[in-house]
Amino acid sequence: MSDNLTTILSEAERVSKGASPTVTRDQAESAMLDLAKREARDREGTAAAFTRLCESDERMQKLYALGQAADVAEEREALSKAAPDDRFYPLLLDLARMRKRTGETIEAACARLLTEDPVVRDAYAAAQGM
Amino acid sequence: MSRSLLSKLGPATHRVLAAALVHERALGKPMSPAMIQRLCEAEGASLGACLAFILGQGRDVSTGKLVRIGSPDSAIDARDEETEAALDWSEKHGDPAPR
Repeated sequence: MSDNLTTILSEAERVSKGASPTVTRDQAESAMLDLAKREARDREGTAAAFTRLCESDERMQKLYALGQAADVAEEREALSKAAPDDRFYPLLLDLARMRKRTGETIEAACARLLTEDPVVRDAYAAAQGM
Repeated sequence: MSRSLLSKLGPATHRVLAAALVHERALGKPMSPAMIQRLCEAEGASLGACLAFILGQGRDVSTGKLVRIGSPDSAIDARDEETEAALDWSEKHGDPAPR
């Protein structure tokens, strides 16, 4: 097993027990693909191995949860750096409350909107002066 | 999906779309654009077609940013035949991944 994958799997295990993540979502997702490549059986492609592991492998589920936790942590850090009178964040929270999916937390909905919704992403960039 | 659409998508794209479906069912959320890109690169699948079907998004031809299919003031880069087929299908049948 590559050292990097081993490290990220240990991190996923640690975070699954309540610790704060120290890696990024990108690193966690990259590890998901590395795991699929490593675990691919004879004549099984990466996508097929990825699919099989998503369904049944606890390590893959923990890596995904690590990515989600890292995403929330990154957003939290961004929020903590924002000016207190910034109007973007109250609006984001309102939007997240309206558009959150079943079973999704407000924090996760905020993170999703910030990464997936181009309007929110642009508004965030504007609020950060980017 | 109609039979004619499936015949226009290659086997690598089929595999990524199937993986995305299972990902969403098993993990509760759609794949991220970065994950889709990684898997497409690993499989040799059409990134444009996969983004269109999994997220209902595509890369704007002028800015390169991800935009929703059908967004006003944006034109999606249909750089390969599979993406073109996915976008044609979406135009006729509506957003395949409403959020």
